[in-house]
Amino acid sequence: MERMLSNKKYVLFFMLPGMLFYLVFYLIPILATVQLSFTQWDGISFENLKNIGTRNYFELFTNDPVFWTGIKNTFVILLLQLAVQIPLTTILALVLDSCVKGVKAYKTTFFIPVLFSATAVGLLWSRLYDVDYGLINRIFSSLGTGYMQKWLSSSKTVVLALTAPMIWRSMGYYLLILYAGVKSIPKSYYEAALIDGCSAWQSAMKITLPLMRNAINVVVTLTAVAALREYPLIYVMTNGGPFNSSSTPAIQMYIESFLKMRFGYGSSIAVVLVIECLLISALIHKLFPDKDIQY
Amino acid sequence: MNLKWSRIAINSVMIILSIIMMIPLIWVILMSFKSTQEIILTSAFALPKTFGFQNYVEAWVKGMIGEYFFNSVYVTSVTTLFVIVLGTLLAYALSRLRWKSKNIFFTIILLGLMIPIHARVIPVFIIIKNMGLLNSSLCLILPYIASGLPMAVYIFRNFMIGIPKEMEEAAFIDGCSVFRSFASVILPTIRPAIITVVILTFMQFWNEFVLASTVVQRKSLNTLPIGLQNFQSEFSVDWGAMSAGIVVSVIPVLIAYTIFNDLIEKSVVSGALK
Repeated sequence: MERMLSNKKYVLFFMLPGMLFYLVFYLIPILATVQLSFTQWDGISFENLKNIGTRNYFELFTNDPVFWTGIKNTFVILLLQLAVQIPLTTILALVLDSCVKGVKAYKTTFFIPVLFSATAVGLLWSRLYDVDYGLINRIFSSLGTGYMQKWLSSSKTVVLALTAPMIWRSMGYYLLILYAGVKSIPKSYYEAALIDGCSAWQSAMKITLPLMRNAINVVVTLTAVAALREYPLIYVMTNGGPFNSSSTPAIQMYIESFLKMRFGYGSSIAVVLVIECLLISALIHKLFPDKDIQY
Repeated sequence: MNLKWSRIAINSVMIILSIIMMIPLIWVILMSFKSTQEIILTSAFALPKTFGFQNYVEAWVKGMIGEYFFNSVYVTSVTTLFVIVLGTLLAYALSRLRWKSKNIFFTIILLGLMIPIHARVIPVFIIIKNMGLLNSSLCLILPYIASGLPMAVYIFRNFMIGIPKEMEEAAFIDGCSVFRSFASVILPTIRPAIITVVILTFMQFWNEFVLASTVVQRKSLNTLPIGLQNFQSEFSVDWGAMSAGIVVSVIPVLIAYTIFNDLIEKSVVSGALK
């Protein structure tokens, strides 16, 4: 058996096909992006490729207001999402676990938007925000207020307006994860707490929340990384406008490379985006380390 | 008494929240049956005068939503099939075969889980272009297969490591080859993992946007997310047809969800907590 399982021919047979795909469409592209980020290139012929050292990064950090707007926007979106989503979904998970009927119906209701493609969500919410016929302004006017807002075409409201559909779309997903976290806590803990005279509130705060810690960590990380990477929804709804006020690095990378044909510059944005994602995940991991919970 | 009231309060809050979640959907479904005039003139939640399918015909014929739909089915199915085959092969080599540098290879593949797709779009586009594949649906399928592998390998490997040595030993003693043992001992044992990966891969690439929006150049090769995006300009004033397009694009996933909801929910959770 030892001999069979350590035969090099088998290793080759099982590894080669998958690794080929992974190499050509994963590893090489990532390395190529890093290399391209040090060049100036129109993407058309390799003869026009010019090495320019760190000039792209220099321009990005010192001379590109759009990039900094983008960074600011992603963090506003990230913080808004965390501030609304984490408490709301945690409470929902606790409520579903304790005292409502029809858990399945609620889970389904919240999960349906998760099934939507970002494009469908984007188109739908663009209509909701429409100045004249959109549902949101219509509701305001039917309440008798003269309040009207150009949600997506005013640079004051656009980032906020983009965050709402992101929350709408992902709540069901995070609720599912947190609910699984609540469910995995053994019922005997609560019985013990009840005998000791704990109230429902106390047992939620002292037992459930601490034991949900790892599930909450997962949700925080997923939210953060999703906020940094978000591209389709913004692309469909505003494409970074008006006047770049809702730009993000992901959007800017696309515009620089595929519309302005500055592939070198676009690549340097991609590299910064990856580093940002890795740093944020590492930071979250550092701030809220997972605890080994054993029941 | 107090408890009863707080229960009623919580239940009503939940119901109100659910209604808020559903409002956009109800609105878009209603619009998909209304004429443009009706949408503008009648109130938002008025029922359509007649439940006509004019908008759906429009979205299907002029919007080519049917074509996009079949492209999506094709691309996603082929991708999922290859991810399962290549993923199980890789995971077998990385968990059960014995060779020196397998942990290095596993780490390299795991890196793929952490690096966002944006880091690859530009070179992938250039590679596809130089391979002359821009006019074929392979332009999406090939990079999708590579994108699906890291998660698949991770989940499969976790399952395969847990299979006791003795099971394969017995097969070898009975005269099975490694291939035979892979196909008739390992694969049946990891069936739940295969189902999970099928669901996750399908969902991921059914809605994939970033690569599709950059690599696909020909309208007839568009998948649903990209094709639907064209509705933005094509039907910018025809809200009815646009709503019909949105509804049509979601219906297949909704049907799949109503049939397999327990499986889908389980897969999504295990994928996130991996």
